[in-house]
Amino acid sequence: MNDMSIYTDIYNTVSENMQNAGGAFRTSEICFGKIASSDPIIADISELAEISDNSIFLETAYRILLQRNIDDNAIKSWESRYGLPAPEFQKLVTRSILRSAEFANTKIKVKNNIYSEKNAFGGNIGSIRKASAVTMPEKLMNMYRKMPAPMKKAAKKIMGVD
Amino acid sequence: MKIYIDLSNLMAVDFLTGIQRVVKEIVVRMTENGKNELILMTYSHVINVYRRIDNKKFHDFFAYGKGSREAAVTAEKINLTDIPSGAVFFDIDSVWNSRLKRSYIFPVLKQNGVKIVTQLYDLIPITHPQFCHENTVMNFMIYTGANIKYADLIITSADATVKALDELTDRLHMQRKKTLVVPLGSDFARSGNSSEAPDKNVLKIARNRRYILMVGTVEPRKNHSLVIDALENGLSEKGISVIFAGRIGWNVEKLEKRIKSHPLFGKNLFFIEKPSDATVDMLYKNAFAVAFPTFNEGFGLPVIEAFQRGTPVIASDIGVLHEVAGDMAEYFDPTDKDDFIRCVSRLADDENAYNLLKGKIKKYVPFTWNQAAEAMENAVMSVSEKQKSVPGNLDIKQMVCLTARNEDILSTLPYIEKFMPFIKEMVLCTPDKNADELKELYKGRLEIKFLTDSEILNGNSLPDDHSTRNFFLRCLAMKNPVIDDVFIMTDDDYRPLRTIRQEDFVRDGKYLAYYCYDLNEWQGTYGNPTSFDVSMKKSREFLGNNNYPTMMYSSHQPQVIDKRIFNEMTEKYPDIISQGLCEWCSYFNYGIGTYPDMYMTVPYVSMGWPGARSDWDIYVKPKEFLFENHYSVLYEKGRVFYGLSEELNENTAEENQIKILRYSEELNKQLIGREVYNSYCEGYLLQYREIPSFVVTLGEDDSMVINAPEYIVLKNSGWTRIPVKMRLKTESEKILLMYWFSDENGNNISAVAKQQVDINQPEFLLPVVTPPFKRQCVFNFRVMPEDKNIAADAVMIANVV
Repeated sequence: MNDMSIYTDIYNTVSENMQNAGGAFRTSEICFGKIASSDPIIADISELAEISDNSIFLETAYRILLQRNIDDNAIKSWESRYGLPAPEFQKLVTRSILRSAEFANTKIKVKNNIYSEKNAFGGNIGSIRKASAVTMPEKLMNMYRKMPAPMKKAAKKIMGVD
Repeated sequence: MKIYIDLSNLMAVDFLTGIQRVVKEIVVRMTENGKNELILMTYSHVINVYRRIDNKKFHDFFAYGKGSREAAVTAEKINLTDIPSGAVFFDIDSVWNSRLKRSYIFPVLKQNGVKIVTQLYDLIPITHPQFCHENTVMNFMIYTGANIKYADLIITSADATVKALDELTDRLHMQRKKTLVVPLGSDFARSGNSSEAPDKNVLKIARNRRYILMVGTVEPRKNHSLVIDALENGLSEKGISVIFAGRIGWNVEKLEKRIKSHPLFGKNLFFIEKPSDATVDMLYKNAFAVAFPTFNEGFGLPVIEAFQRGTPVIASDIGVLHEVAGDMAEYFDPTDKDDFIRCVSRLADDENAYNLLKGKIKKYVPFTWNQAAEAMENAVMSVSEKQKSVPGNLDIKQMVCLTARNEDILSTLPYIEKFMPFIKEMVLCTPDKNADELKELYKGRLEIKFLTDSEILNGNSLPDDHSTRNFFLRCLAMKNPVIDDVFIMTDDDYRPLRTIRQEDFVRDGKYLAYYCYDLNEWQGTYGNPTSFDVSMKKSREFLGNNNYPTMMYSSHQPQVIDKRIFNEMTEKYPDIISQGLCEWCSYFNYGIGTYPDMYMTVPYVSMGWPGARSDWDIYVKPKEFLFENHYSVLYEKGRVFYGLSEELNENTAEENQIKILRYSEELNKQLIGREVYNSYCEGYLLQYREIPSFVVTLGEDDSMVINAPEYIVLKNSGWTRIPVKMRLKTESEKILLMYWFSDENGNNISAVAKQQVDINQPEFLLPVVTPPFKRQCVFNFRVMPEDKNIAADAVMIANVV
């Protein structure tokens, strides 16, 4: 039902009008498309993560999560890390924004947060055989250390760690 | 008619100029005339929901200055889905900067059969983006796109805006919108501060001075600089002063500095910031002329405000101002200060010319706010005018059933005879071979009429797919005169549970439309969609693409059909006949979208849908049960109706009560399970600001990561559906999900459940069956792309309560 093509068509039309007047948009088409298509109350981090360009991810994350344009100071503080692999850069940006007081004030909720500071299981496990155990992430290891002995035993068994 | 108005911007700002003035003047009058039920709302960013505004308090504040904005906001919450079918959502406020983007809310409203009317003030951020803040342009593009896509009517205040909109829709290859021009009013009479005196200091400035007045927000588009240039280049020497009245807007820091540090500032150049209505009124009356050097405008309210006070206007030579001012203004090129000076000089130096212009203005008949409000409200009402109505003397006597199972229909007919006394006639659409046997076996009171497949098909071949076949046959049968204009459509296994009257289908002059789900939410059988599921998907696509509501009406119970509307739909969209849509969903959504006054949507009243609570999550709980969707399997040992009779007998009425009790209990178990999960989600959200979900990322390098909640809470002995999203960066045809529960020692305490992932539907709700006991245990979640020979596990504490 919600075909979004009209929004990108309008972006291109207005962009042309802007160029004819001697100006240019700072907001990228990708960022605009995400703003138009996103749920204004629940931000889906896994959708944001589909953006491969780090600078566009940054401007979009500000628009979606903080509901504003990114400011020059923020760009300056992040641009030195544009060269990082996208998942790493995105993780840093997302976590930084989600920890901020400004984000708390927006009352925006988050779902499918693949950059959560909580449970993430797995990693590069290409070599692990089918149905075998996987390595415990650090967060889980901390949880594991605090577990009572019987639970530790269970966790070991489940994860295949002896 | 119910009219919902989002006043979030008006309620948030502390000024009443421009659009805010229009909104105030119109809405205040709409609250007074009582023609419609007005539901005024403002969006709360704190709780992310609309709150209702008290109409009287709103009126008292904005009409008389009594009370406050804040006091007018009530605690009553309004969700988008609360806005009923047939209501109008009237967007008159400047809502493009609102968090609730129209690209998000309009589809929801349309899905519910709500009409959308928008007051479009102008398209300047689209046509002249260079004059607007980029945020405004971005938000306005979304607002405009949503209106082009979804609005039923767009009201503008000038033909120039209609022209600009038509040009835009043409450029976008979209259909032109239905539009209506309603000029804005110009009288100040209803101001909340009407008794207020003008500012004494401003009065001193205005008296004994020949001045050019500019009213409005200081922003680049308004072109204040040109007037200052003219002041410096001749006007000042002529003894003419300039007064700007308004507030400081966007991107005018340099201009503001230029004004306030100008050598003539306080002598021949004045800036009256945020003047009251009374002060503006006084300034208009005493001005030599009003200047309007704008580059672009939606209407030009200051022009008619000046006319109303008999003050000449010197305006930009642009189309919209010619439309508003006609030959009652002097025009100049807004890029040429000398042209402006020429115009002013002509009026200043030639008393006859000045008086001639004033004479023309005297003949100006202002359009009042009362007229504007009435015209606008009539326009809003026009989108939902009754185009058809349900006949008052309606007497339904016919049922129509599509059946290929003689045994089933023969078992059902006695229930119809007993519990639906108003039904006199049954039309059976059936294969030819079934008709003879039915004629022979049926001995009841109903007059049976047959429409055999060969009669219906008339040479057409029958599609293979079950749903496609049913829809095809029903569409064709609907053309046959044997079927009444209004009848009850049913299937051979829908049985009434108690006496049913016509009022259960037609009430208060409206057809009841019993819905059971939202098509957008329907998942059906995950990973292995049935013919029914496919028809739901096709129906959703058809309805959504054509901007009809998208509720699900295949409620597995008899429903009333107006075949004239059904036929109108298939004549309008002839291709759908062979596309396998759902007959119930397509008909009702088309009818409700086209003739909202003819229908009343109500939750379904059918038992046995779902057949088992594990089949799918209930979207809406039936308030009562009038029908049973008969599944023999539910009468087997261990199932919900075990021990009860499947045939009509003297105990049926009592047994139906038992059925209702048992089935309600089953549904309640499901609802309790979902309540527990929802409570857990709310708690998790409070704790972590995140909605718990499982996200599986299969990377290009065959790495795999599962993001999972820290813990999970589930109701015991039930089915709970948990959200899973698969992010597949590499192709995998065969991905298996497994889950199970284990105890503190690692021993499995549940069976290992498996679910094949449908790569075409990577976001889904995984039905998790929970253990039959209450305890804390471990939830194990495993993902195996089997064709890649890899796997990943997630484990977490599970509280089974």
